[in-house]
Amino acid sequence: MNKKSNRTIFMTLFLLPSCLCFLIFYAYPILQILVTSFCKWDYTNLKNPTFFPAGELLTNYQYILTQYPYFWEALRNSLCWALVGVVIQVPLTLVVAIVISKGLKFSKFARNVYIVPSVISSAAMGLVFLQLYNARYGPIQQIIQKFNPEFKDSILLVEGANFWAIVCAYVFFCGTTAIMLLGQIHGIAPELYEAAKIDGATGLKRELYVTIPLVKPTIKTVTTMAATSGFLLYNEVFFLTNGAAGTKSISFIIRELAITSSRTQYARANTIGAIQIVIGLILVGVINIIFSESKVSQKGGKA
Amino acid sequence: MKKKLISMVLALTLVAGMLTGCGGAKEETPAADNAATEAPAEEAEATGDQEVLKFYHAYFHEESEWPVAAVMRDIYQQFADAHADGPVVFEPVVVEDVLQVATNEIAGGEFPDMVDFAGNEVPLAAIVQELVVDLKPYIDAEGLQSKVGINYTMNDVDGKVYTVHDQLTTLGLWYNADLYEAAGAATPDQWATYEDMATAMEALRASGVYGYNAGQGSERLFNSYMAVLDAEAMANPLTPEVINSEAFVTAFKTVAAMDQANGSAHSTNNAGDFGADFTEGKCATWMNGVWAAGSFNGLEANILPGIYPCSGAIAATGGGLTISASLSDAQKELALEFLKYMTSDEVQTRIFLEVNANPCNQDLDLEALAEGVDNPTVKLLAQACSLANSADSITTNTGSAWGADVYTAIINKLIECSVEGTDIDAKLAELQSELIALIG
Repeated sequence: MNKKSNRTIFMTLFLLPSCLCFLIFYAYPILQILVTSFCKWDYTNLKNPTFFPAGELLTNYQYILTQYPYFWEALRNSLCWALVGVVIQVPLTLVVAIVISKGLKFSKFARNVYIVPSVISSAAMGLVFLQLYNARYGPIQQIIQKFNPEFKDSILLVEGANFWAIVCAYVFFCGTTAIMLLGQIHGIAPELYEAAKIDGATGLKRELYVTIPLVKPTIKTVTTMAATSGFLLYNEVFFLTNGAAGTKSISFIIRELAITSSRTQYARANTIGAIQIVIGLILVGVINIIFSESKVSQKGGKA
Repeated sequence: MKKKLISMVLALTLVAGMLTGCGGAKEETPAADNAATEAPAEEAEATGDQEVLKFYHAYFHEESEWPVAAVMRDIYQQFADAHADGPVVFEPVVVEDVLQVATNEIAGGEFPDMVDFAGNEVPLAAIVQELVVDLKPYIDAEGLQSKVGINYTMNDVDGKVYTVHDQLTTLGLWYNADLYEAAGAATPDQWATYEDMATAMEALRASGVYGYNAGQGSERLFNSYMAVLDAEAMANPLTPEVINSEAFVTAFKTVAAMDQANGSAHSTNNAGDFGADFTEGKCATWMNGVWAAGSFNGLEANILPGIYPCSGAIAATGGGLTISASLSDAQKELALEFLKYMTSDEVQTRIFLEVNANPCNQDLDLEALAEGVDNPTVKLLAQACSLANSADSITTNTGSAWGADVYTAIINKLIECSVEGTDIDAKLAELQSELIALIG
């Protein structure tokens, strides 16, 4: 056996467990979700999901898209939360990472303070925010009433306002992604900053023309993470409103159909799951396109 | 060479890790237990020569946290001890989420030996797939109709009874008589109509407290009012005709209007959230079950039980003791004996006096039992149970009759209506179309 084939064997062996795990724990469930979305699978036949007749294969899709009352509300909310993640969370994380990277006094302390909420589960954070927003004794209510003494309603039940109340419950907690960016920023060679300084790029210009372009691959990763976590939002909805007042999310209605419904509507839940997977892939694709376009224009600029 | 060695070690470690993770170490999971129950009797899980009947319940709490749980565990253990030497060993198993345990099993076409659903509905899938035993022949043969009480009718599914809950989920309300007196408001025993209640709530708000807990609480008002207006509708699965009926519209709009006047700050999907406000004298009426009688110990305020307007109350059985259809004859015999034991006068008396719940057994005289003890909680509980049991309209709850998703949709829509300025007619129309789609 030559050196090359030895290497191939070792690489194959090394990758085999991961590949098997991927096939068993990711590919198979995804395939099952897609396949069962064309089946009748509920409390009447939990053990034996059966395909709808050929002409009616899309029955579940038809029900979800045209009859199920919460699908469009949930899709709109989930997409908006994904967008909010990209538009608010990513710039915020970037700013925090850049500021912490300056090594200012208390920056270590600030970094740790910023990270701590990231190790708390979103369920626990949901409960914390439930108390914060409590209409009878929550501090947020009291602050609102300082500015508008007439306001007596629960902010979680006021349509529109409750969307942002849920946003605030997750959008600021991005310690993990900030650390990713911070690591990348620390990896930038000091010589580049020195060269930029000679060219007159200091302060904000330094960040705009040196730091941000160099951490762009990580920004792309962070953007994908922010978009998908916003799109998959569940715990915050469950704990804060339980889906009331127009706040249902895609993940929430999947649970509604599969678990809350007395009729255990697995196939319909999986139909939404299939749609969620497709839209999730589109989101990731769009983010890739956005970032790859930037790359092209960057190259164009060089030329 | 060194790199090759490291690669080899890493690869082997990963493979070993994966194999260990997927390995066949067989813990005592309910799934594993159930596999045993499905096997023929002679192969069933056994301790020596004895078979085992596993009984899953959710009384997991520490005694200091919830003393009732310890009482229930003691009741179960006494039965286990009494049958320790029999052909089948009775083994109570504590799980935190009994419904989840059962649901997981049912998804695989199986059912745990025996389960106490503690008021949660028996999943339809278990019934449709015939995974659970019809208890009615046994109840009839043993003459236990009065012992199982309203389980006999409320849990009747096409002439079969698949579950018996030893305690009833009896719902009415609790009110702070001092606050009502201070506000000059008519107390619940004087409410002949929902207008009377609305007037009383207005008087209470004017006195500086809020009327009641809406959301889950007001869904109970809707539930009771709906039964008063159309008892038949509340006793059967929801239909589009009922959703569009005058009774539905009236019940929803009446309760929603009261909720809006009550304010959205006092609406949530968990009635328990308002317990502190009620005991602190901020909330005048707490829509909650008779089991809350124990929450008022040591309070100076005069707390009294009541029922809903139009003499309405809710008494649901929900799911309770439910037995797997795949047990051996000996296991099934013991499971049925346990059912008889749990509904016996002796155990039901303990459930009333020590668990402070409304027992299902109709042969007990609760007020007489309460007189015999010097416990204010029991006396209050007896009063609450008697009131609810003697209401003109006693109905099951919406979740049991119409399904959990319908129940949640109604609560959510009532909560939305509680926001000032909300168009109740528009919300009703939304709810009607949502419900028609949900039952489709």
